[in-house]
Amino acid sequence: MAGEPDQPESPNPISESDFVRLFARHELALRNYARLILPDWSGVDDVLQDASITMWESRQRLRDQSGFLPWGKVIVRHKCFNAIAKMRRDRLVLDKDVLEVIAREEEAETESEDLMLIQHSLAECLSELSPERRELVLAPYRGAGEVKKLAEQGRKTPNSLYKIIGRLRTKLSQCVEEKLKLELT
Amino acid sequence: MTAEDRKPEERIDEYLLGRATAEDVGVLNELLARDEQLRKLYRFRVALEGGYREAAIRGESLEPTTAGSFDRAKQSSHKSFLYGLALAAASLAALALIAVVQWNSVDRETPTSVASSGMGIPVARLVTSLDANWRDVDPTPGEFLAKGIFQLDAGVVELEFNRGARVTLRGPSSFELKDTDLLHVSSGNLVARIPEEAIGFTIVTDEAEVVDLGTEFGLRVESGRQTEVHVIEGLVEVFPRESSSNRSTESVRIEEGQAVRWKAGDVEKMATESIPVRSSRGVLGTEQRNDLGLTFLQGNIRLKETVSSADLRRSASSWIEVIPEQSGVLIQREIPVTLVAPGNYRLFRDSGQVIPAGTKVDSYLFHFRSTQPSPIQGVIKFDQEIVGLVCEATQLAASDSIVGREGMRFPVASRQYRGLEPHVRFENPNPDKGGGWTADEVTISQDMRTVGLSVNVNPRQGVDQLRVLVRSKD
Repeated sequence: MAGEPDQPESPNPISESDFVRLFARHELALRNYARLILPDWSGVDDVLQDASITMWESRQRLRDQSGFLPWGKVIVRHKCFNAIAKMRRDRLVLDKDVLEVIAREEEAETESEDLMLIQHSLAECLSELSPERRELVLAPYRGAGEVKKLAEQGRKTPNSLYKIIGRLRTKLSQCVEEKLKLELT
Repeated sequence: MTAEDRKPEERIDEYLLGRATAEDVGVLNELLARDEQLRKLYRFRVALEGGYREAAIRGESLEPTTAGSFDRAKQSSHKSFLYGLALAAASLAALALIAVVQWNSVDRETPTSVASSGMGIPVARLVTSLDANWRDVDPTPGEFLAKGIFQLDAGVVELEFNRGARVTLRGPSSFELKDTDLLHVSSGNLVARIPEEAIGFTIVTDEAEVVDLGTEFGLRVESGRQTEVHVIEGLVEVFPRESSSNRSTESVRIEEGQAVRWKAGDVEKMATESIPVRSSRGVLGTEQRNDLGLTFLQGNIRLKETVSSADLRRSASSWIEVIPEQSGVLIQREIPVTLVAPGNYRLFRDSGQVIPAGTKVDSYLFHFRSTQPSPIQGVIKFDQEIVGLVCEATQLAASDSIVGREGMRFPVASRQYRGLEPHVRFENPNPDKGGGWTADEVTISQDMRTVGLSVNVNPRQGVDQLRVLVRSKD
């Protein structure tokens, strides 16, 4: 398959248990990588499922454990662009060229540990919000119609709630950046 | 706030929340393409996305967390995902027979055993063949085909390209395999089915280039006269071959349910004529099922149209023969079957399993013939879900009249040995009893699409058959 590693079987292939351990370690980075390319989470779930099976089936080709994440990213990237070609028919997606640049720049960077740190910081920032605000900012991830339901309960329009969500997200983003700066110092 | 003065990060958030307008996406495309800092911001916002989703999935309003509890939460989501992976792994491990020959996408790209019919790199594999009459070559199902020109004088064949596209061709046809995603057809009728991973698969004729955009389509190419494109599902785009560099202005998009025809010489002007769309069967001009519905993965397997009386009397060679029977049969009254679930089976008896009334099925009869004392083995993958295997002689007889092919002679006289054996569990099978020397064996994959068979046929007395019923896609 184009873009996927075309390597012969490794003389020292990783064991099944090593594969599972490596996948667990790098899953967050792979999932994040797919989300960079794909416009929604349901596509990410599908691609990760598919990619994990391809990786499992071709694990004999992996030469060493340090190559697991780059190797996995190549497979995920390929699956994502295949998936996106189909999505373009019925939804708005960033240009392929733009996504390719973003994906390429990401390849050399984020590891699962970095993402854990970001997510941990975000959890702390979320905990500083009032329960109502937390509920609102997480509503879009709890399923279609959740924001609308909250809007009906509060006698507001969904659009006005999305504006509030947008402001909260900006605030949370700043909060996380501050925490990361502290972490680095 | 107007759309114009929105900040880029707001547009990014709208995009990530699935609420971006076309204008948002257009602006983001421009900004992201030229601004490295904004791309970094996009990556950061995506990293936060994972955190929002995780928090929402974990439950509800977050209490202040510690790193440890956050780690545990992560582990729990890993566990659920890994559980899915473990299931896939377990199914592969359990079905070693199938795993060995699994035609997965990565393997397709780098086949290890190549029986090409020409020099060069294999680009496709012959998966099924019905009464095929090739000129100069004689590939059998399972063989890889290299780049090169092929003449199919008669019959129907199905090719699977290494990128996943499947093309059914009906002879007479002249075509050239040019690459894993490129086929040149000079003449003949074909139906192409393109899975997601093969979108962009291209078929060129002498005058035009038909690019698939995720679809099923048919082509009828009469060399030097005319070409028809029938879009059965999805979308294709047709370009004149000479001006492929100027695609945006000179192509024609053909949508699902549409068909066009152009005559030789007209294509440069894209002077196409709309015609009624044909079904895939109509495109191929055959009474056979358009796509045959199965793939031979391994073994001495061939398609046949019927089993004759002569076939029942003698075994001149060892084959698993597959006879497509009735398709789209709506079951009126439940049909007793032997196997209905994934697993490895060595015992074949009526255990009360049925396919319920109301199920619509396609049927395939498997006829095993052998001249050898060793078992005949094969692996067959079906496009549709298997709903039941009929392996026991009485059940076979009962289903003959419901799904069997009209006019076919069924081996009623061999009834005792017609199905697979044994019917009862015993430690030391007697080679003189039953159909073969050792227990027959059937493996059904976890996804209920692949069957592995190992069947003994005693050429002196046994006539082994079984019937596979799959969920009809009609």
